Amino acid sequence: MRLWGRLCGVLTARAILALILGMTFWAVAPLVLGWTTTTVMTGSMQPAIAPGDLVVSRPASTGDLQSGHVLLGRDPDHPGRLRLHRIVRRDGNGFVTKGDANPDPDSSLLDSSAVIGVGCIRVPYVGTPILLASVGDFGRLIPLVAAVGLVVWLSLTPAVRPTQREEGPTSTTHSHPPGRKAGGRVPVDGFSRRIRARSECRRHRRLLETSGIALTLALIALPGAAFAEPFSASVRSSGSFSAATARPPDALSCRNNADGTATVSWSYTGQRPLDFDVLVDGRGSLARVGSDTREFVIKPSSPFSFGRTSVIRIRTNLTRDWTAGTAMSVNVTTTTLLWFGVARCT
Amino acid sequence: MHAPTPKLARLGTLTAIPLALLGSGVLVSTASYSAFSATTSNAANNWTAGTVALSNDLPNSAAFTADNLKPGSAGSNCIVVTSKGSLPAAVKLYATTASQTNSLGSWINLHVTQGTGGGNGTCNGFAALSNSASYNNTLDAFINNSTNFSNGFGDWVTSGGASEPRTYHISYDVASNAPSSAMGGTVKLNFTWEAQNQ
Repeated sequence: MRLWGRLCGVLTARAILALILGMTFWAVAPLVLGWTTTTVMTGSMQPAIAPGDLVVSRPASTGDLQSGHVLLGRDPDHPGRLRLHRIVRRDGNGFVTKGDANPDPDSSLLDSSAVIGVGCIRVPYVGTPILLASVGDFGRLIPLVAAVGLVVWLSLTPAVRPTQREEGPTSTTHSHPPGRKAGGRVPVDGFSRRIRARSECRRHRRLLETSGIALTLALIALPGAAFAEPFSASVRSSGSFSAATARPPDALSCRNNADGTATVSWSYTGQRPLDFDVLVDGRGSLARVGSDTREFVIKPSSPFSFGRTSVIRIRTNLTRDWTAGTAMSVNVTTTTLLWFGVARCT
Repeated sequence: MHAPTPKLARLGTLTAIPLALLGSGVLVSTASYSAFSATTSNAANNWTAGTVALSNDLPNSAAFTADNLKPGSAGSNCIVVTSKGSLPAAVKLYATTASQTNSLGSWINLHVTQGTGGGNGTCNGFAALSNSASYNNTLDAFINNSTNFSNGFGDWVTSGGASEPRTYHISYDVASNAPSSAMGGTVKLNFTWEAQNQ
């Protein structure tokens, strides 16, 4: 029974090794064609592509690329690194890409010139040792390597022990004499010679197999140099800036006073200004009044000529440069005789 | 019961290996089909090989709502950005969905310094980090030249694992020589922090 268990174990190990080597073949063979194999380092493309996968990308002309394709390109955000993300859309001369598991598209465009290829073969799990080694997770790498080593060792052990002919079958219920099927016609001398020759031959074969496996493992390590897929997350806060607009006073009015002066008054609802200017005839400023002032008294002593009518406007000065004057105006006529005079709204 | 013979072992090997090779082909082609034929992207999933995650104390809300700005106006705010991802990541700050009128952005100076403390709408307790980069340029330059991760501002590299905060002190001032043509102008933008694993 132990011998059957051994046979099953060895055959299973051989099948597993063949599975691993077969999968590795799909990842490594395309390198001959000049295709690119990369090890997926993060889960930003999950669930389609998982960390530890090997992804083979074939060169593609950018004209053939369309949204949904998984693009491999040189990451503009990280010199020397590769980005393996899905195309969302074409944008000018580049591509907007997004990791399936990332909430937002990548902020930086992948330029056409940075495109290496388009993903076409995914070999699951085989890149796991490269992933674990590069993140330094030796707690899992060592058992994994040990397990693979065990599989390799098991598959190289003979499935049946060469000494079994001498021991004979463990079961006694069978009627056939022991060793008949296994070549019992061979004389004992020749048999032992053959065993020796066979073990010699087996040693050579084992050497060949081991070096073949070592070569393959070295080839798996090749794509480890380039690793793909950035993981990203972003958060934002808005900013809004708006500049004030100088607003002219509204409702300009003029009233006559008993003492022969006239008062120009205005109302204002805008932002508190620096001050107001009282403008005469659209030329200079007659006076500058404070920001809380809403009226200005025009006295006849002002240097007006006889019977002269002036156009009065008010200007809001938010700053010295940011100003706004009223479109409307009031007219004030001053008449001065000697030192007496009157200013009257007209 | 018979003991297994070498012939049987050879036969088993010659069956198991081609079957396994065939299986590898099936496995690879199935995996390839599911990975590359999907044309829609999937929603966020459980991530097995670590995460990159960012949050701030003013998520998707206003860092600044500065109205009635005029030459000499100034203001500041402190925003705490926290990295909660398990992977070490580089964090950059840049502008998204920006727009402006009357070239107002050319007359607003933007200063960003990195530090600790403050947050939740105040800069009380903020302490700038020495040896960390600071941004000093116009808002116009920021929204035109810092538009994505590769040209974004900042030198913060998180170590991953534990929750790690950093405060961004953002201040602005309107140039004293801003011309009247900038009156009524607006600048709208999103301050966007992006983390990418190292």
